[in-house]
Amino acid sequence: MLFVTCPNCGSRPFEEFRYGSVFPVTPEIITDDDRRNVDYAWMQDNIEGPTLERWFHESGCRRWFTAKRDTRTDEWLDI
Amino acid sequence: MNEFVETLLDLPWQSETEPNPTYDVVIIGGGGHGLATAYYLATRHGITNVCVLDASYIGSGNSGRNTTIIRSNYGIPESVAFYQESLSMYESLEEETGCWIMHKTKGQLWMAHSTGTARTEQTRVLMNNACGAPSEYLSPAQIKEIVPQIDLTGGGRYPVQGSSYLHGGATARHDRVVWAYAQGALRAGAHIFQNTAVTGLVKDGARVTGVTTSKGTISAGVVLSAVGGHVSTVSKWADVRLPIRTHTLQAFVTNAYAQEFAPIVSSNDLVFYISQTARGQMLMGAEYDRQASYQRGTNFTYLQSVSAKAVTLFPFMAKLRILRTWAGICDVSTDFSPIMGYTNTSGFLLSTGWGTWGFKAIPAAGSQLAKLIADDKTPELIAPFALSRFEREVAMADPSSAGTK
Amino acid sequence: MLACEPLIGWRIIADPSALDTAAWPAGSTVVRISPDDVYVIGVAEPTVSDPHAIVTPEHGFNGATLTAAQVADIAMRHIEWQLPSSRPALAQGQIAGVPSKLVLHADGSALLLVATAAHHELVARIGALA
Repeated sequence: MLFVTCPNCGSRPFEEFRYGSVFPVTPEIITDDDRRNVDYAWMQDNIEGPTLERWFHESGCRRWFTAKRDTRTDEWLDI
Repeated sequence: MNEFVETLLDLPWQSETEPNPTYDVVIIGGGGHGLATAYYLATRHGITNVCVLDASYIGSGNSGRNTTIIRSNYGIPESVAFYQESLSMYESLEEETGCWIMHKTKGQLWMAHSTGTARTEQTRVLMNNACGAPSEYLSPAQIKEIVPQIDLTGGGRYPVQGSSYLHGGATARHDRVVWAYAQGALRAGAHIFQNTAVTGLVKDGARVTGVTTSKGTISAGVVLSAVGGHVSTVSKWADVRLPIRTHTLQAFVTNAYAQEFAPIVSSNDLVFYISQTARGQMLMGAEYDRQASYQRGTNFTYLQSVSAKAVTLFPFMAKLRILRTWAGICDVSTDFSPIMGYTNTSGFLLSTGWGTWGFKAIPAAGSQLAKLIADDKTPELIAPFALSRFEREVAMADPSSAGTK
Repeated sequence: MLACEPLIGWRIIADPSALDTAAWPAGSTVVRISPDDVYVIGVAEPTVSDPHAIVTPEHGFNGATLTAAQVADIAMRHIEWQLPSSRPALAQGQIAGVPSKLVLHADGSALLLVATAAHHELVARIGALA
């Protein structure tokens, strides 16, 4: 992952960007409200494979965007 | 798979080539933590019907990819007590196992470059002393005596204001620690199988009763996941949700520096740590990569930024050259403390959340988990680190002691 | 060394469609930083059709005019990414490690924009120009 493609600016070196986070998803199977809160606060999907995440182009347009990355290989995928 | 794994040697201490159909304890992951648990189960509790499985060779994961630092100067009492136990166990490990692990007590400095951090480090010293980890707070002049190579002005931008100093800070050769535990465990009767990937868990209702592997199914009384890097995948098989994100952590060594660099030096404000290996190489690490990743790649940006930090404090480093880089994938828990013990799925234990602080904990975690399995009762030392702490809302938050950000 | 002077312009944050359709006076330089964000130099008081637009004076940039040869020189020595091939165009990213913008004009010349706080650093890093 040496380059990241910003939808506004195009392909730029990785160090121009800041990693935001993945989209947290609390599983539907957890129904108790307290347990859902615990899950939301602490638990992580930690997906090994294609992951939707937010990135910020800090050195360019300074806008957040959504990108899809395979966490096993750091390859960028089409959303 | 690399060349080394393809020509993987059999373990010289083991005659079995195929796992038994049933074991009392199956441990997934043949790194320091898994092997230490097997070792203590066999040597201290007489539980020898134990099997350790590794997808590659033993110590091929993070046990072979760390910066070998052993310290106990953490920020919460429970952690200090736990890591101090581990530090003490390391000191007698050579004697106990009869293996030379190249253990060397060096002392660890944790530098402060701002008034705020100086206060943090002074607090750390008080807290560590109170919890049994002998430390003192050093002035810049005292620091210069311990490590004469330092530029106390920090290149003008990071003046050294003081430092906490953990007397017991040490290093040990990571591969040798793995081999010592493997040899000890095998001699005591445990089994270790390399090149044996665990592909899933066998369940009877909600209970975990075994593992499926590339060498067939193995039944188990209990299954311990001592996996580094892929623990979320293993836990998913057991329906356990984990507060863990997996990040790449890079490290590197330079060519040999001909003079002695005595202590381990860390900097809170610069965020990096450095020590000298037995071969004289300068070994450095810093923060883990920001994005979650299972990829063990290193990159130039990281080398550049850590080198700049190193040269800021140690100008002599500018004349050294980077020799070798590597990376491991770390299971970083959301409260920056490890997770040990039983889960809500019966028959399934975890030793995880070792993030960037796992090597130093190998003896204590191994012995305490062995005790837990043998007595079926959580020892006091690791009770605060149970996975259930998140449900109980008593997180062991200690990010500033991880030596990383 | 590069002469990198403070610029006074306008920053407008507005609905992208309002910025798409806005009419700018002749002679103004319009830098479309992102779909909803534009930086304009050479306009007395800009107006856009979006009633909720934020229109505010922007004193945060320094700028330097570059010839086509200077652009090529900087690109070769200090830019790790690909400049757009079409002109006019806007290129945003790090130049010599400093976040910068290049407003590439149709005639090959360009306006280099950099945050005022970082302009000394950029000028020092670029050094002497061809």
